[in-house]
Amino acid sequence: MTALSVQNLSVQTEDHRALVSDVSFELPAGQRLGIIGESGSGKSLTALAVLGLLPSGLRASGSIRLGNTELVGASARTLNGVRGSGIAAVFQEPLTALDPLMRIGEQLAWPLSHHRGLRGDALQRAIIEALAAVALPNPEKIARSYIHEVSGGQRQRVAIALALACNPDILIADEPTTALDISVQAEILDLLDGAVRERGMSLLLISHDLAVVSQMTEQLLVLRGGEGIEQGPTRQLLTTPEAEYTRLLVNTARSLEAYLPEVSALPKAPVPLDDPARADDPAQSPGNPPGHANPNTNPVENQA
Amino acid sequence: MNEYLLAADNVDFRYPGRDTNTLHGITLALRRGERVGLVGESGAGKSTILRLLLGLDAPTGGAVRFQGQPLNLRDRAGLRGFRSAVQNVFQDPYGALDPRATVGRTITEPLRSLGIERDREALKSRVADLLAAVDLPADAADRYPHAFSGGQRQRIAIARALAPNPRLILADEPVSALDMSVRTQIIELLRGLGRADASVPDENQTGLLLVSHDLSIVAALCDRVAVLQDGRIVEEGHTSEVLANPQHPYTRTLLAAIPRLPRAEG
Repeated sequence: MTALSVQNLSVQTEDHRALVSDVSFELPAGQRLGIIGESGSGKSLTALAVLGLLPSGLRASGSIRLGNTELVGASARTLNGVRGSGIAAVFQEPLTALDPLMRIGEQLAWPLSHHRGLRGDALQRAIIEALAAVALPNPEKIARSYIHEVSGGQRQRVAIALALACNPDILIADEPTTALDISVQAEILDLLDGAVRERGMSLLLISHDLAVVSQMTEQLLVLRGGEGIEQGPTRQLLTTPEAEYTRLLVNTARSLEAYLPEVSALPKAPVPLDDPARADDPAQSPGNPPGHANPNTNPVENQA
Repeated sequence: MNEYLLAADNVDFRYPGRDTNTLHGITLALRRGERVGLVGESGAGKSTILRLLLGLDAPTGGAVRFQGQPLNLRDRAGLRGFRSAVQNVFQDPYGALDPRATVGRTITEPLRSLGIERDREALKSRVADLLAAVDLPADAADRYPHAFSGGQRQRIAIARALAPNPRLILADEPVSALDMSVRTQIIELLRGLGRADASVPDENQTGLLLVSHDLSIVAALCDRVAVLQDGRIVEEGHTSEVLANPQHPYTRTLLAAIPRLPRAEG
């Protein structure tokens, strides 16, 4: 079954300038599709169009079908019903999705009560469960914290918890690790990978980073200047790209990677670090796989 | 003549009002013409080290030495020599250029402000040379930054840094804001700086201190690398050796965390 079907999607400005032209792709249920592109490729606008969140002045045409529901031209009521339980999103900058004036627990309470009808103790339990599910240490304390009181990696975990709160069928992740340190990136990718697998969700991962997309997705769509350039199985596109532009992207990424030693040559058992400041934390010892720090030891930290 | 052009000598730094040091005993010395990478994640103190090496702040312990002498922020005449010898390039090519100044004026700013060159014709021919050095068309001189893409703006910023013929360029994440396809071009440009003539001895070439979170870019550009964690250098050595045989667990973590492409078939 196809969870999401996008056909001939175009996004235009009021003066009819096309920012996305005739983009089509299918995301079958439980599958993972990567959209790769550089700045101005239209990859983020495509995601916003699917979410019905295009900035004012931009108009989508074509078809975006979620199951049997057409989203292009759909009413606000239809879109509100779809967002959260049908499609949820995580963006590059977690702060755009999070309210600085509201405790983290309160922010999670809204979708959980609105979409799942939870109240009282059941709601409180669901909040703690949602935070624990994204491997946040000491979820009770995180729930009482404000977003400025937790680190960048933890903020993205909170944003993911928020996106997962209503058990969406499709998760859209738009550059979810671009603003994060590289050691934190590995953990967040791990978390997304596990969450998508466990819940049987479909994933639409948007990124400029070929290596990130290659680790996370089975299918790949290359966008440039708002147009689809090439589409196919991720591995095939990255090993035998057909379009000249895909080749340029792949060759560039490979030429930089060539400066690094082979993965097989690296010493094993690196220490996962959610934050450099916690390098000495026992919860981050090599015995713990990434994203599964002992939830009982880590206090909420203040970013200095 | 001291073999070190610029050195942090057991430098501590604490921001006013903080109760802990941001930097602890940093020793990092750059020989003439050498290319050194400083790698670390956010909050490690990379930018603070850059500020100290640029003479924008004074260390709270230890010293920053330029040609063997402690950098004296009050010695204005001495600082002029320092500023023409040590130039910098920043991450954001949009924020780094004055939108109201033509590219020609932007590029010659260090020459005028340091009193190196005031003659209009001489400045004009210097602009032409510098634009050619960074592969921009000569007519770019009369245009404004908004007319240029991110990669082109970074070329303009590099041309400005090259203007006073510096001995060393301090570059803070110079390619991380750029698209992949432009990134390699800027890396190639930085690789080629001052290296056009292989017969020129190394110490007469422009050195580079590259600050980045990205080990592959450091590997592409630098002879030596220092790994910074929590305000301390935890590992330092020849780039090829550190990458092939990292000693510190943090260096290993950084290396292992870099996502890789699937191997090409065949």
